[in-house]
Order: sequence, then structure tokens, then C-alpha cells
Amino acid sequence: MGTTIIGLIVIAVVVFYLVFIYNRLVSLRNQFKNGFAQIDVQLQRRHDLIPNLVEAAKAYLTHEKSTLTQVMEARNNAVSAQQDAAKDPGDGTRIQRLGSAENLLTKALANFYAVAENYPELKANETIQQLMEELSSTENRVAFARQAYNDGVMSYNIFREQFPNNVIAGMFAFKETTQLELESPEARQAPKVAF
Amino acid sequence: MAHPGFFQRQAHARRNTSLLVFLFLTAVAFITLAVCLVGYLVTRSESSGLAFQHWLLSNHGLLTAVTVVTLIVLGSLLRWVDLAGGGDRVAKMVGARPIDPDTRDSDERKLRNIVEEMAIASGVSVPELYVMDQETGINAFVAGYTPGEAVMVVTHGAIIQLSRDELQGVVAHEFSHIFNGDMRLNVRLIALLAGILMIGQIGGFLLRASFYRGHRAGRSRDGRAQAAMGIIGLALFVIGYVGVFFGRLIQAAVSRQREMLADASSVQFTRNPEGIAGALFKIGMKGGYLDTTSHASDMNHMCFGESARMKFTSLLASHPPIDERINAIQPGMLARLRSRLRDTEPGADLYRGSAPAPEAGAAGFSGAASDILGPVTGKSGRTSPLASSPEKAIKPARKFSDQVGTINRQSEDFALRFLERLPATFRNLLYTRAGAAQLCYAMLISELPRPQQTERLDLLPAHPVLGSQPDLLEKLLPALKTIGDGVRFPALELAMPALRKLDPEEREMLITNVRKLVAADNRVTLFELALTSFLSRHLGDEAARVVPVRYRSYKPVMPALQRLLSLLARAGSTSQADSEALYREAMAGFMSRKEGSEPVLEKVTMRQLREALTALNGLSPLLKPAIIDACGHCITRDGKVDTREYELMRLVADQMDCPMPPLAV
Repeated sequence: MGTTIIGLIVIAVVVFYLVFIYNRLVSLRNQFKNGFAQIDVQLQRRHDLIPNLVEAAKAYLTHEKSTLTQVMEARNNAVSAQQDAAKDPGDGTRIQRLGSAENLLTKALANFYAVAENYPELKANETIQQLMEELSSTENRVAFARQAYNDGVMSYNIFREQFPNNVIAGMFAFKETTQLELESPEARQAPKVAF
Repeated sequence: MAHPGFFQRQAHARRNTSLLVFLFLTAVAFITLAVCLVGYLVTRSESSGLAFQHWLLSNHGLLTAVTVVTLIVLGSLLRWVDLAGGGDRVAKMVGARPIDPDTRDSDERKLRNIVEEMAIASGVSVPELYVMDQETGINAFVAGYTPGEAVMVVTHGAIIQLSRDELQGVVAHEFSHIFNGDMRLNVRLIALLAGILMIGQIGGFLLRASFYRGHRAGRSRDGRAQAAMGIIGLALFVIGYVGVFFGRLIQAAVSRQREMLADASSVQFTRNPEGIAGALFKIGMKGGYLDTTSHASDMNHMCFGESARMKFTSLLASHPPIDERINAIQPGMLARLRSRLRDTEPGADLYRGSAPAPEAGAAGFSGAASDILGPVTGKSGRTSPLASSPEKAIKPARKFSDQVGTINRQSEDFALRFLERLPATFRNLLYTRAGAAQLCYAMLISELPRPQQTERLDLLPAHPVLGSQPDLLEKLLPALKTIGDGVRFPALELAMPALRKLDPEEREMLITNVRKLVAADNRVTLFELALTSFLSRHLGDEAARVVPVRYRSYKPVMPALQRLLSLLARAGSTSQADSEALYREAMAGFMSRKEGSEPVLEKVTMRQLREALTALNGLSPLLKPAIIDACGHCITRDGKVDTREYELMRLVADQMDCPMPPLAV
């Protein structure tokens, strides 16, 4: 009788351990997936904010029409690239196109910030200040979402490959995932808003 | 990876935590055993001399063990229920105010954005956000048993004193506590401690009861039972409190490990070690103690830095030393931050209380003095060094360096000593809106006897920020007394950023309140006049008003000018003859030689002074600098500027809408 009890206890412990591993794999996978969804949400937010900024800045930058149109063009490009990429997220070339469109937008914005530097009234405007804060926050969010995705993928992969987790992962088809690569080094940095 | 190591440090901290938690549970097991041993020793004679291990498995032994475990669990549960509620209860307990999700205040907006960014970076849902408005220390904490009901509380001091990156580091640190379930761990440990404490408390109760009964009825039949009860009580008491002591040590050690983990995670979330290190460094310099809540020591383990100043040993500290934390984040970071501070301190920090560098002010005065002593023609067209930027003013300083040497050193010393002289609590108070407003009141009543102070304060209408707040005044008044009159205006200037945060209506109210206090005794002192004009210049509606130019020459305002300069000449000299000479020097620039100069006026009332200044403010802006220069000449002639002179100068500059350079006091 004593041996049966001990045997049952051992089996129970093993089952609990397996359940724990499975649940941990599920939660890790969902964590990095959330990071990926955030990237899209935040890009959308960035695109929505830019027309407001341009509209608010128009009154001050009457002589800098080209800067503003540049920003708007870059923004519209990025929007269409984003819609394109959303149709088929698995397609590498579309994702890459989105990346370069976002880069162009970042450059256009940096140019805009540089021009705005010469207009003290523009800098003093409260609405513009708020929009700037929102925009730089959004850029941070895009970067953080990407980073959270990669961190999540890393801890998921590490956990997945360890023993005995790899056995469970193999049994329930938890696949290895790759990290998001950045298209260019400058995409790593949000533009510094030097106000 | 930009900074290899934070993942390792996280793993390290996690491993240490597991070890400590294991130790803690072992301690609980040992306590149970110890209590059983007591039970065994007491009942040994009756249970026919079994060995301890056999007794433990007998009915007696199992009953004792079960009782002890039940007691611990019961005690823990009681405390757990108390602690495990939603975090919003804790936030309310410390008097924090929730931040509206679509707040319009730019600082709060920034904080909200940072929190949302970090929520994305850590993959945790956005917690409810609270701010402690009255708190000037740099600190933050999270509360709430599960991530879903977590709240984050940040002090006002953290919002205004930290840069965006530093605030981000702090917020990320707090997110790590949510992410890693530190609140849950802590609540569990504290609950277990409470369970152990309960054993000690029961022991104490038994001990007392046996004494009490022993005294009342010393009958021999009860004697033995009482002695047994007393011994059991004493044993439980000792076991309980020794257990709590070691439990505390372990709990503190766990807390320190979790802080290290959170620091490392903060770097992971922000990928910016400078942010969190900078924030820690600022805390190290200014302190993160929570002064406005009585719960500081309860909150200690939840906070970003130590929140209570009662720590007597590093073993019980819930946070590792700041130096150690900074160097764990990145070796050598502390030294770098120190050297950066040395580079920027003289410009940024020490002189913060007085907008342009004092050196420039002193230099400006020396320039003014030389101008007045020299030929005066065509002078009015020139911009005064007082009104110009410090860079321009430095030139005359070099030119007349021999003349201004003394003043320069003084002002330098003054600036360096000024902030040191202010007690930290006092200084921190000035950064809050309520504290700054109370400062204005405190300065007006600090000279009065106690009953009169309360009488004056009753004049003020009740208001959450601007009403009189006795607890804050309690801190300000003694400090004002000890540091002396000299720092009244510098302190006021330190408080200006906080005062500017007031809404237009609140500003209006502050000025009205100050006027009420000034008018209470039906006479106006120089300082009171200076204070009201300073406030209305910087906060009132008049701040933006353009003064119409009424006079384009000195002639129509001559009487006003005479009054002003007589007053200053007398203030700046010691003897009658001296003041006469000084007055003539000062007036020389404003009248032609032919006119016989009138003698210095004996008495100038505050009312006259105010009228004079109003008249002088109607002068064309080009004519004003010469007056300021003349005033400056008067008060710097003896090589030092005392408080009264400084306040006079301040008043003149404010009333005439001219920027005022700081002076050595």
C-alpha cells in the first residue's frame, strides 16, 4: 500500500510539472504576440497624429510649405504601405516596404523639427507642444513594442529549447520564432525632439 | 544587446529570491517544530516518557503541530485579507489623487505617456495612475495583489524633478514589480510574518494572564498549572519574536533582491541604463522619503527608494544602498554621474534659486557704479547691464574686476552656501504648489507671536491648496526663523516654478490672500510691499500688461525720483553726511548742473514710495535703466548688500518692470 501511495504522488507531481510547462509556454507565446500587435496599433497612432501636427503648424510655417508637404507625402506613403502590409503580414517584402516608408517619414519629421527650431512662436504653442509629446511618445511606443516582441521571442525560445520543455513543445507544436530585424540602424532611434 | 548583463542579473536575482523564500519557509517549519518541542517538554511527565520524534507522531504531538500550523495560517490569513485588496485602497490611504486618462496638464500627460510606453515594453496592462501632490521627495510605488488591479503612485517631486528618461526608468522599475509579481510575493511574506507574530502574541498573552491570575489567587492547587502556563507563554513569546526577527531579516533580503531585479528589468524595458541610474542618483542626493504620509514605513518595501528614514541597520533595509544599485546597473556609472554633476552643478543646480548667475549681477552693479562715477552724458540710451543678459554683463566685470572682487567672492559664496543653508525638507516643500503658497503666508506672519499668527491665518478662506495649512506652516515657520531674513527672496524664487503651476483663478486668490495678510495690521512694511509687488508682477494679470509710456524725460517725475533715491541713499550709507553725498552722486545724472541739488529727504513713507514707483514706471523704457543703475550704485557703495537693501532693490525692479539680478546678501 505504501508503494502505491508513493507511486501516485510521484505521478501527480509529474503531471503537475507537465501542466506547468505547457501553461508557461502558452503565456510566453501570447506575451510576444501582444508585442507584435502593439507595433501595428502604434504605427496607426503615429499616422493619425501627423495631420494634426501639420494642421497646427501651418499657421506659423507659411514660408515652409515644402517641409510640410514632404511630411504629409511621407505620411501618406507610410499609410498605404501599412495597409498593404496588413493584407499579408507574412510577406517579407511588404514588411520591408513598410519599414522603409516609416524611415522616410522619420526623416521628414526630423527635418520638420529642425525647421520648427527657427520659429519660437511655434515652439511656444501649447497645442504643438502637446502634439510633439504625443508623437515622440508614440515613436517610443513603436520602439518598445518591437523590443518587447523581441524580448518575448527570446524568452519563449529559451524556455522552449530547454529540457524537458522541448519535449512538451515538440508534442504540442510550439514552433521556434524569429526576432524582428530592423531594416536600418537609424530606425532603432526615435528622433530626438530637441525643444 | 547594448548592455549585456541585465538578463543575467535578473536570473541571479530570481535565483536568490527562490533561495531566500526557501529559507523563509524552513524558518516557519522550525518555528512549528520549536513550539511542538515546548509542548513535548511540558507534557512529558504525562505522556509516559516517549522520545520527541515518537511523541511528535502520537496524537498529542500531531494535535500540537496542527494547532500551531492553524494558528500561523489564521494569523497570516487575517493579515493577507487586509493587504491583498485592490491597490486603489492603498493609493487612497496615502492620499494620492488619480490622474485622469485624458488629462490636459502637460506634466501629467507626459507621465501617462511614459506609463503607457512602459506597459507596451513590459507587456503588462496599464495600471491605474495616481500622484501624491504634496510629496516633494522622489519616489514611486505600485500596489495591488494582481497585475489586473495594480495601481502606480508617483510623487509630485518625481514628476517635476526627473527628466523624461529618468522618469521612464522609475516607471519601468515599478512595472517590473508588477510584471514579476513582487507585490504578491511581498504580501505573502508579510502575511506569514504576521502568522509567526501571532504565536509570539499568544505567548505574551499567556504570560501576562499567568502573572495576573497568580497575583490574584495564589492558591496552591492552581500553582503548578499557572507555572506551566507561564513557562509555555514565555517560550511561545520568545519563539514568536525570535521568529519574527529572523523572518524580517529574510523578508528584507528578499525585498532587496526584488529591487535589484526591478532595476535590471528597468534597463531591459527602457534599454537606457542612464535613465534609472540618473533617477537613483537624484534620489541619493535629495532623498525619496515620503514626508506627508504616516504610512511611509508600511510602504517601504513597495517604493522605488527607501521611503522612511528610520532604518538603523542595513540588514533590515528593504532596498540595497543606492551606490550599489547604480553600480550594479552599470559599473562605473556612479563615477560618471558624479563627474557630470560637478560639471553642471555650478550652472544648473546651485544657482537655480536665482535665475542668472549672481556673478553677473554683481558685475552689473560694478558697471553701473563706474558709469555713474564717470561722465553721464548719453547714458540713458544704453542698455543697463542689469537688464541685459549675463554674458554681456561679464565684460564690465573683467574691466573692473579689482573693484568688484569683494562682491564677487561674496556672491559666489552666497550662491554656494544658499542651498546648503536651506534644510532639505524646507527646500522640497517649495517645489509643491501648496508648500510654495504657504511660504508666502509664512513669510508674512513669521515675526508675529503665536496667537496672532493663527488669528491672521483665519482671515484666509478655506481652499485645498491655498487655504492655510497648519501642518505645512509648522514646518516652514521655524525654518524661516533660523535661516534668517536674507533668504526670504531667494526662497521665494525657488518657489516660483511651483507657484506658476497655479491656475489663473488660483493665482488671483493667492495674491488676494497675501494682500489680506498684509492689510491685516494696517501698515505696510518694506518687505510686504516688495512681496506683493513681486507676486503681482510674476503671477498677476499685470504680468502681461503693457505699461503705457507717459513720460519721456526725467523732469515730470523728479519728485518721485528724489524720494526713491533719498530712501536708497539713506539705506546704502551709515552717516548723514555720507548719505547726502551718495544722494548727490546718484541724482547727478538726472538734473542739469545749474539746478541746485536739494538735500536728501528725511522721511519717505511706504505709501509715498509706492506712488513714486508707479510714477517712475510710466517712464519711457529707455530712461529706466539709468534709474536702476543709480539705485544699484546706492546700495552697493559700501561693498555689501544687506537684506533690506536687497528687498528695496527687488521692489524697485519689480515695480518698474525691469528684470532683477540676484545680489549677494
